[in-house]
Amino acid sequence: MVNNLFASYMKLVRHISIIAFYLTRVMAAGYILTALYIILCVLFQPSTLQHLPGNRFAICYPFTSEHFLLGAEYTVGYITEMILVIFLYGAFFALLSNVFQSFRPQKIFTMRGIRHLRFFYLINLFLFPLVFLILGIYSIEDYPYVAMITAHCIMGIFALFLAAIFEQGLNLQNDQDLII
Amino acid sequence: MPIVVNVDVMLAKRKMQSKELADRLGITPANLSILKTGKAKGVRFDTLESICKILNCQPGDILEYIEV
Repeated sequence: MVNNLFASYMKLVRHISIIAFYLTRVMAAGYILTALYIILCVLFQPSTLQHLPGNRFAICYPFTSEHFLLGAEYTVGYITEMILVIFLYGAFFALLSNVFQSFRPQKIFTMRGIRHLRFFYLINLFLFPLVFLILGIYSIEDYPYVAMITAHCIMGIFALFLAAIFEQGLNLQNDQDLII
Repeated sequence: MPIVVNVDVMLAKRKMQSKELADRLGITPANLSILKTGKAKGVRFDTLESICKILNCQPGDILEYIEV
Protein backbone atom coordinates (compact mmCIF):
# COMPACT_ATOMS: atom_id res chain seq x y z
CA MET A 1 0.00 0.00 0.00
CA VAL A 2 2.70 2.46 1.08
CA ASN A 3 4.96 1.24 -1.75
CA ASN A 4 2.18 1.77 -4.29
CA LEU A 5 1.55 5.26 -2.96
CA PHE A 6 5.25 6.05 -3.17
CA ALA A 7 5.48 4.65 -6.72
CA SER A 8 2.53 6.75 -7.93
CA TYR A 9 3.99 9.79 -6.16
CA MET A 10 7.32 9.28 -7.96
CA LYS A 11 5.44 8.79 -11.23
CA LEU A 12 3.71 12.15 -10.69
CA VAL A 13 7.06 13.81 -9.94
CA ARG A 14 8.50 12.31 -13.15
CA HIS A 15 5.55 13.55 -15.24
CA ILE A 16 5.76 17.06 -13.80
CA SER A 17 9.52 17.16 -14.32
CA ILE A 18 9.10 16.11 -17.99
CA ILE A 19 6.56 18.89 -18.60
CA ALA A 20 8.69 21.44 -16.73
CA PHE A 21 11.78 20.30 -18.63
CA TYR A 22 10.21 20.91 -22.06
CA LEU A 23 8.61 24.20 -20.99
CA THR A 24 11.87 25.60 -19.65
CA ARG A 25 13.83 24.31 -22.68
CA VAL A 26 11.41 26.14 -25.01
CA MET A 27 11.73 29.30 -22.91
CA ALA A 28 15.54 29.01 -22.95
CA ALA A 29 15.50 28.63 -26.74
CA GLY A 30 13.15 31.63 -27.02
CA TYR A 31 15.40 33.87 -24.91
CA ILE A 32 18.62 32.79 -26.64
CA LEU A 33 17.10 33.18 -30.12
CA THR A 34 15.82 36.63 -29.12
CA ALA A 35 19.31 37.65 -27.98
CA LEU A 36 20.76 36.39 -31.28
CA TYR A 37 18.03 38.21 -33.20
CA ILE A 38 18.90 41.50 -31.46
CA ILE A 39 22.57 40.99 -32.32
CA LEU A 40 21.67 40.35 -35.98
CA CYS A 41 19.39 43.40 -36.10
CA VAL A 42 22.02 45.67 -34.57
CA LEU A 43 24.77 44.35 -36.83
CA PHE A 44 22.91 44.31 -40.14
CA GLN A 45 20.35 47.10 -39.53
CA PRO A 46 17.43 45.42 -41.36
CA SER A 47 14.02 47.06 -41.77
CA THR A 48 12.84 45.32 -38.60
CA LEU A 49 15.06 47.67 -36.57
CA GLN A 50 13.22 50.98 -36.31
CA HIS A 51 14.77 54.15 -34.92
CA LEU A 52 12.19 56.11 -32.95
CA PRO A 53 12.25 59.75 -31.79
CA GLY A 54 14.30 60.51 -28.67
CA ASN A 55 17.06 58.02 -29.60
CA ARG A 56 14.68 55.19 -28.79
CA PHE A 57 14.38 52.12 -30.98
CA ALA A 58 12.11 49.19 -31.69
CA ILE A 59 12.83 45.73 -32.98
CA CYS A 60 9.93 44.16 -34.88
CA TYR A 61 9.01 40.52 -35.23
CA PRO A 62 10.91 38.99 -38.16
CA PHE A 63 9.47 39.94 -41.58
CA THR A 64 6.80 42.17 -39.99
CA SER A 65 6.47 45.77 -38.82
CA GLU A 66 4.87 44.79 -35.52
CA HIS A 67 6.93 45.85 -32.52
CA PHE A 68 8.54 43.01 -30.56
CA LEU A 69 11.09 44.79 -28.35
CA LEU A 70 11.30 48.43 -27.37
CA GLY A 71 14.58 50.07 -26.40
CA ALA A 72 14.86 53.24 -24.35
CA GLU A 73 18.21 54.32 -25.75
CA TYR A 74 20.08 53.33 -28.92
CA THR A 75 23.54 53.22 -27.37
CA VAL A 76 26.17 50.48 -27.18
CA GLY A 77 25.79 50.28 -23.40
CA TYR A 78 22.04 49.92 -23.47
CA ILE A 79 22.02 47.34 -26.27
CA THR A 80 24.79 45.35 -24.57
CA GLU A 81 22.76 45.35 -21.35
CA MET A 82 19.65 44.25 -23.22
CA ILE A 83 21.44 41.37 -24.96
CA LEU A 84 23.27 40.36 -21.78
CA VAL A 85 20.10 40.19 -19.64
CA ILE A 86 18.10 38.31 -22.29
CA PHE A 87 20.97 35.89 -22.92
CA LEU A 88 21.47 35.36 -19.17
CA TYR A 89 17.80 34.46 -18.76
CA GLY A 90 18.18 32.04 -21.68
CA ALA A 91 21.07 30.41 -19.82
CA PHE A 92 19.03 30.48 -16.60
CA PHE A 93 16.13 28.58 -18.19
CA ALA A 94 18.52 26.14 -19.88
CA LEU A 95 20.12 25.35 -16.51
CA LEU A 96 16.70 25.15 -14.86
CA SER A 97 15.61 22.63 -17.50
CA ASN A 98 18.70 20.55 -16.67
CA VAL A 99 17.63 20.60 -13.00
CA PHE A 100 14.16 19.35 -13.98
CA GLN A 101 15.78 16.68 -16.13
CA SER A 102 17.52 15.33 -13.01
CA PHE A 103 14.14 14.14 -11.69
CA ARG A 104 13.36 12.08 -14.81
CA PRO A 105 15.50 8.92 -14.45
CA GLN A 106 14.46 5.93 -12.34
CA LYS A 107 17.48 6.59 -10.16
CA ILE A 108 17.14 10.24 -9.17
CA PHE A 109 20.43 10.63 -7.33
CA THR A 110 23.13 10.80 -9.97
CA MET A 111 26.43 12.62 -10.33
CA ARG A 112 24.98 14.34 -13.40
CA GLY A 113 22.05 15.70 -11.36
CA ILE A 114 24.42 17.01 -8.71
CA ARG A 115 26.51 18.76 -11.41
CA HIS A 116 23.39 20.43 -12.85
CA LEU A 117 22.30 21.59 -9.40
CA ARG A 118 25.80 22.94 -8.64
CA PHE A 119 25.81 24.97 -11.85
CA PHE A 120 22.33 26.26 -11.07
CA TYR A 121 23.14 27.40 -7.53
CA LEU A 122 26.44 28.93 -8.56
CA ILE A 123 24.90 31.16 -11.22
CA ASN A 124 22.01 32.08 -8.93
CA LEU A 125 24.17 32.85 -5.93
CA PHE A 126 27.04 34.61 -7.70
CA LEU A 127 26.54 35.47 -11.38
CA PHE A 128 23.02 36.92 -11.30
CA PRO A 129 23.47 39.03 -8.14
CA LEU A 130 26.78 40.36 -9.51
CA VAL A 131 25.28 41.26 -12.91
CA PHE A 132 22.22 42.88 -11.34
CA LEU A 133 24.40 44.75 -8.86
CA ILE A 134 26.45 46.21 -11.73
CA LEU A 135 23.30 46.97 -13.74
CA GLY A 136 21.67 48.52 -10.67
CA ILE A 137 24.55 50.98 -10.46
CA TYR A 138 25.03 51.80 -14.17
CA SER A 139 21.77 50.96 -15.96
CA ILE A 140 19.26 53.62 -17.01
CA GLU A 141 16.46 51.02 -16.75
CA ASP A 142 14.35 51.13 -13.63
CA TYR A 143 14.15 47.42 -12.81
CA PRO A 144 13.54 46.21 -9.21
CA TYR A 145 17.15 45.00 -8.93
CA VAL A 146 17.05 44.37 -5.18
CA ALA A 147 14.01 42.11 -5.56
CA MET A 148 15.65 40.29 -8.49
CA ILE A 149 18.88 39.74 -6.55
CA THR A 150 16.88 38.48 -3.55
CA ALA A 151 14.82 36.11 -5.71
CA HIS A 152 17.93 34.63 -7.36
CA CYS A 153 19.71 34.26 -4.01
CA ILE A 154 16.69 32.41 -2.55
CA MET A 155 16.59 30.12 -5.59
CA GLY A 156 20.34 29.59 -5.28
CA ILE A 157 20.05 28.66 -1.59
CA PHE A 158 17.26 26.17 -2.36
CA ALA A 159 19.36 24.66 -5.17
CA LEU A 160 22.35 24.49 -2.80
CA PHE A 161 20.26 22.56 -0.25
CA LEU A 162 18.90 20.32 -3.01
CA ALA A 163 22.45 19.62 -4.21
CA ALA A 164 23.43 18.67 -0.63
CA ILE A 165 20.40 16.33 -0.43
CA PHE A 166 21.35 14.80 -3.80
CA GLU A 167 24.93 14.22 -2.63
CA GLN A 168 23.70 12.55 0.56
CA GLY A 169 21.19 10.54 -1.49
CA LEU A 170 23.88 9.40 -3.92
CA ASN A 171 26.07 8.21 -1.04
CA LEU A 172 23.17 6.31 0.53
CA GLN A 173 22.17 4.90 -2.86
CA ASN A 174 25.72 3.68 -3.49
CA ASP A 175 25.77 2.07 -0.02
CA GLN A 176 22.37 0.53 -0.67
CA ASP A 177 23.63 -0.91 -3.97
CA LEU A 178 26.29 -2.78 -1.96
CA ILE A 179 23.72 -4.42 0.29
CA ILE A 180 22.80 -7.65 -1.44
CA MET B 1 37.16 -6.83 6.47
CA PRO B 2 37.13 -9.50 9.18
CA ILE B 3 33.85 -10.98 7.87
CA VAL B 4 34.58 -13.43 5.07
CA VAL B 5 31.89 -14.64 2.68
CA ASN B 6 32.28 -18.32 1.85
CA VAL B 7 29.63 -18.62 -0.85
CA ASP B 8 32.29 -19.90 -3.27
CA VAL B 9 33.21 -22.74 -0.92
CA MET B 10 29.58 -23.77 -0.50
CA LEU B 11 28.98 -23.54 -4.25
CA ALA B 12 31.94 -25.87 -4.84
CA LYS B 13 30.66 -28.29 -2.18
CA ARG B 14 27.19 -28.34 -3.76
CA LYS B 15 28.69 -28.45 -7.29
CA MET B 16 26.58 -25.49 -8.30
CA GLN B 17 27.54 -22.64 -10.62
CA SER B 18 27.37 -18.98 -9.60
CA LYS B 19 25.00 -18.16 -12.43
CA GLU B 20 22.52 -20.79 -11.30
CA LEU B 21 22.63 -19.46 -7.73
CA ALA B 22 22.17 -15.89 -8.95
CA ASP B 23 19.20 -16.95 -11.08
CA ARG B 24 17.59 -18.84 -8.21
CA LEU B 25 18.20 -15.94 -5.81
CA GLY B 26 16.76 -13.48 -8.30
CA ILE B 27 19.84 -11.24 -8.23
CA THR B 28 22.25 -10.35 -11.01
CA PRO B 29 25.53 -12.30 -11.38
CA ALA B 30 27.28 -8.95 -10.86
CA ASN B 31 25.63 -8.55 -7.45
CA LEU B 32 26.49 -12.14 -6.51
CA SER B 33 30.07 -11.40 -7.51
CA ILE B 34 30.05 -8.33 -5.21
CA LEU B 35 28.92 -10.62 -2.39
CA LYS B 36 31.49 -13.33 -3.16
CA THR B 37 34.42 -10.94 -3.42
CA GLY B 38 33.60 -9.34 -0.06
CA LYS B 39 32.84 -5.94 -1.58
CA ALA B 40 29.27 -5.99 -0.25
CA LYS B 41 28.51 -3.75 2.72
CA GLY B 42 25.76 -6.02 3.98
CA VAL B 43 23.53 -9.01 3.31
CA ARG B 44 19.76 -8.84 3.72
CA PHE B 45 18.25 -11.52 5.94
CA ASP B 46 15.95 -12.68 3.15
CA THR B 47 18.93 -13.05 0.77
CA LEU B 48 20.80 -15.00 3.44
CA GLU B 49 17.73 -17.13 4.03
CA SER B 50 17.43 -17.90 0.31
CA ILE B 51 21.14 -18.75 0.03
CA CYS B 52 20.86 -21.14 3.00
CA LYS B 53 17.74 -22.71 1.52
CA ILE B 54 19.23 -23.17 -1.96
CA LEU B 55 22.64 -24.40 -0.73
CA ASN B 56 21.10 -26.36 2.15
CA CYS B 57 23.43 -24.86 4.73
CA GLN B 58 23.55 -22.61 7.79
CA PRO B 59 24.37 -18.87 7.85
CA GLY B 60 27.61 -19.79 9.61
CA ASP B 61 28.65 -21.81 6.56
CA ILE B 62 28.32 -18.68 4.42
CA LEU B 63 29.72 -16.04 6.76
CA GLU B 64 32.85 -16.41 8.83
CA TYR B 65 34.57 -14.06 11.26
CA ILE B 66 38.34 -13.97 10.95
CA GLU B 67 40.26 -11.77 13.39
CA VAL B 68 42.69 -9.48 11.57
